[in-house]
Amino acid sequence: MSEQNEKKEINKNQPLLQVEDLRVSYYTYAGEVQSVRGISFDVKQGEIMAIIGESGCGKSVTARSIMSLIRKPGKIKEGSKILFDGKNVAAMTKKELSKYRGGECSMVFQDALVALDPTMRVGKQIMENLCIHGWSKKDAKEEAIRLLGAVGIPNAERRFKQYPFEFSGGMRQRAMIAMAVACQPRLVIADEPTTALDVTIQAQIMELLKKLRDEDGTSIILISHDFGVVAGFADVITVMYAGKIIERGTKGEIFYEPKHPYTWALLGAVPRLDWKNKQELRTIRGTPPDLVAPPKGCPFAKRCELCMNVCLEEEPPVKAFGEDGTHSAACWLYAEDAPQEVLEKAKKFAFTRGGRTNEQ
Amino acid sequence: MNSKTNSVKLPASERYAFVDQETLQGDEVVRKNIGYWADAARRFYKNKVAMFFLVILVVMIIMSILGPIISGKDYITIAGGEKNIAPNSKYWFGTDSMGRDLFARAWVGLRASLLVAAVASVVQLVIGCLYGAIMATVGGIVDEIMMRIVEVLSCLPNLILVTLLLVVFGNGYIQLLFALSFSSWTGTARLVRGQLLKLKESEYVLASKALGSSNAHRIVKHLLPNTVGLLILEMAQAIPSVIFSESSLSFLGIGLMPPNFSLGSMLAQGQTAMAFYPYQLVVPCVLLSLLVLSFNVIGDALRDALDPQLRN
Amino acid sequence: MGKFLLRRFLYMIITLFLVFTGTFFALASIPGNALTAKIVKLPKAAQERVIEKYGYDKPVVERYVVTLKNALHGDFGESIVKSGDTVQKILATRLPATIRLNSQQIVLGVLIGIMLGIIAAMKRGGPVDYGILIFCMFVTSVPSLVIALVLQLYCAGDAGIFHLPIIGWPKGVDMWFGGWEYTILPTIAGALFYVAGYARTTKIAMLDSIYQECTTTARAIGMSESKVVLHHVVRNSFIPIITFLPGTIAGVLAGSLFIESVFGIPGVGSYYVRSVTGRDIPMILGMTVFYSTITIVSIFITDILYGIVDPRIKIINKKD
Repeated sequence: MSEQNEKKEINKNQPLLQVEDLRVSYYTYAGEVQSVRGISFDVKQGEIMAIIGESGCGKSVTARSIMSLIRKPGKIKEGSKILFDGKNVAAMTKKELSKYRGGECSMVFQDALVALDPTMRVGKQIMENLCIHGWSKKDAKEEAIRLLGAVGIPNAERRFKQYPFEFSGGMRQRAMIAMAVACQPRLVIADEPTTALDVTIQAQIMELLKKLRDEDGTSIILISHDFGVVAGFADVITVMYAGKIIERGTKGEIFYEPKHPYTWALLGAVPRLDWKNKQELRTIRGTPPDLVAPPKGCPFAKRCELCMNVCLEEEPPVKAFGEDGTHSAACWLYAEDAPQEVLEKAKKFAFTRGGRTNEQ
Repeated sequence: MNSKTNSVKLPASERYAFVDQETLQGDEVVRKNIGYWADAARRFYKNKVAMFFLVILVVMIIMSILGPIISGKDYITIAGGEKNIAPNSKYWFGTDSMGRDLFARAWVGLRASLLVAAVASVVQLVIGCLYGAIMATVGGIVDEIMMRIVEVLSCLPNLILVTLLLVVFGNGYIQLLFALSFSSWTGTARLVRGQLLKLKESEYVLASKALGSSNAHRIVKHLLPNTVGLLILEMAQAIPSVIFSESSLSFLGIGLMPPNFSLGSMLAQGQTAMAFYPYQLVVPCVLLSLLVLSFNVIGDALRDALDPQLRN
Repeated sequence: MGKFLLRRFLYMIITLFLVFTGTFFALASIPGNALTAKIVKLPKAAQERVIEKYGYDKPVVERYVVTLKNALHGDFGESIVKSGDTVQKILATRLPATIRLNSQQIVLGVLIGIMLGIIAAMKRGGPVDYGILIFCMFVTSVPSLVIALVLQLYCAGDAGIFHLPIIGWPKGVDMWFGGWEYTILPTIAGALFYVAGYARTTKIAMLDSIYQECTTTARAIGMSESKVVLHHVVRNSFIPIITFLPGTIAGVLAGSLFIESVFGIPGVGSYYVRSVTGRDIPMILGMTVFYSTITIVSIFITDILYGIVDPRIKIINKKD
């Protein structure tokens, strides 16, 4: 145990998870759906990263790729690289994969009612995880009861023997988390962990996940469509659109100096307390592009209020902002050879769209 | 579309010119939109095996009408001198123990089996639909009583119920049809009742109600389309099972009585002569199996085509 | 649970009573039965004596009351066609053959069917899956009657491949566990149809559970594919499979009508066919009640099994 902690300390600045040029496609009769189209990011030890995007933008597929859970008709394409602590996930043997899943990297699913086996007692499902990773039955049972208590389920002993449908939504999600963290994984992927829950319970669940990071130094990837409750708990936010990352930065950077028009639009669609009464909630017109035939330029161009000719034709360059390189966005507005008035207009526009001015 | 012409880099001023918002269509539909029935039909027609068996079935139906005429011999004439002749150029399928042309008889037998199957399954479907619809729409005590009746009827094995009905009503075409359809409609009734109740409670029907749609609108737009597929599948399942029952009954001598006959009664005749003249058994066996096989393959293809859950 | 079972049991009794009543009056309405055929050659006085013996001189309602009273003691009256035969006696002498035949058919059909279904689901899309699919399509499409006849034609007798007996059934000491050569063909003939049915149901249920989110969870905690199948998929697949059991029992019972006739097996089915052709009213009535009892009881047992496999059902029952 102590050895492991030491190792965690040493690797503090080393990325725990590195994803490079991940491409995932689903082969359906309508054609190849390019769900994820070449994304790269990394997650540091003890970091909470949020992936934000509309439904269908490829966030869940990204999560499942990290767990190596993509199944037919989906396929991770050649050239994609997922490195966990330096090890290539795609090249893992069955045994390594079994240790990796649940042991080092685990997942919390959106709807615990369907994610838990309806015909198996909750306690037994948590025990299963422990038993797979080398615990004896007796120890596993004690540990499972302790875990249930630790995630805030009262009467853990009694709850241990109940079935998922006898739990309330929030309790189920807690049980799900207990199951995910049972083997003290170093990375927990939470795929829309609060979407199926009431708002009051959402915050409780998020607190629980945060506590996990604060106490055990677990890295967390939060997947959500919601800039509200979830993103607030993140250190780093990645915004995805149509299978691509369009902006990435720390929480402060994304909330206070967003660069991409899509991020402006998303932030503009979240009601805020500091707004005056008459301010209207903005919506984004149109729908995301069909990923069977993704547009060749910027995927957001057709919905963008600052669309330029070049946006429709060429993929936007990724521009880094600031010194430490934590903040970057893929948008033509910030291209090297873009005329000054374009940037001016962007600044003016951003001001009216929820984001602040980006004076630097 | 005009990417080729634009591949030459535009001057910066034009490259970075803002596009008129009016020309952008944010929600342009790229994927072709396919309706449910069009898609189902497309899937069905694409299924080559099903198409093959559809052709076989059509050929069998045509032969059951024209077959006896083609061979030029009728199926009743008893030719004393030409008993038990193996298939040859004169008698393509041979003759039976009474010297009757098996080729002609086979197609007439097939006709009887087909006719019984078609009529009985349609009647079964109609009774089942009406009964189920009444249970689902009236509900309450009526539903309770009607459901009890269904339960009583369905606690007898199908074939036993048919034989019982045949004992009560006597033998003959009409009685057989009645017995076959009367013994099997309970399943359809339950199915229709269940589906209608499910639909009535479904959110989209509630939503439609909340939007102020009329009863008729809901029936035509939601209840019917969502039940028709199920009924087609039920029909596809009912036909082979009716053919099974009918042939078994006729084989046991409690179905069609002479002079009427079907493939089932031909099986019985074939069995008696099996040891010496196996072709007399093989002919009806092959025809019966081919018939059921065609219906099953087509039914399977229909199920694949109609089940939207399998769509991806 | 107890209350639920009691209520289901009461329903069972009521249903049986209704079956009895319905069958009795339906049979009573037939203009001619075995009795008319039997007495047609007798002198007038003898005719009346026979009619009186079977109680047909009394009005229908009175006859119904008497028959019902006797039936409660398990007595459905004497056969008209063959004096001395009673339902009890027939069941005692003929039931063993039918039970053995049917249970062999069910065991064979269900086991092989589930096995094929699991294999097909695991190897879905591959040549093995297609092979099983084609095999299933074939055996569901060839009526068991035809299978029985073809087996008899090509596998039995001196000319057959395996020289198995054409007809007959083990007697005496071999009644339960011997004379397998007699039972092979009828068992296969009756079982093949169910092999296909169970294979298909199992495969669909397995695929349903494989694609259920909870199996993804199991995989996400590092469970191996075979363990996922064993722990989550197979278990969840049993729920739809169990619903098919009463149908299968009713099916093999009905199937034994012609299978027993084809292979000359001295079982209940072949006797029922004989009673039907002879319009032997008391025997038909008794055996109809017997058949429906078996079906109802099997539905009852399935309900209980269902509650054991799927915990969600139990809770609903408790609230009942």
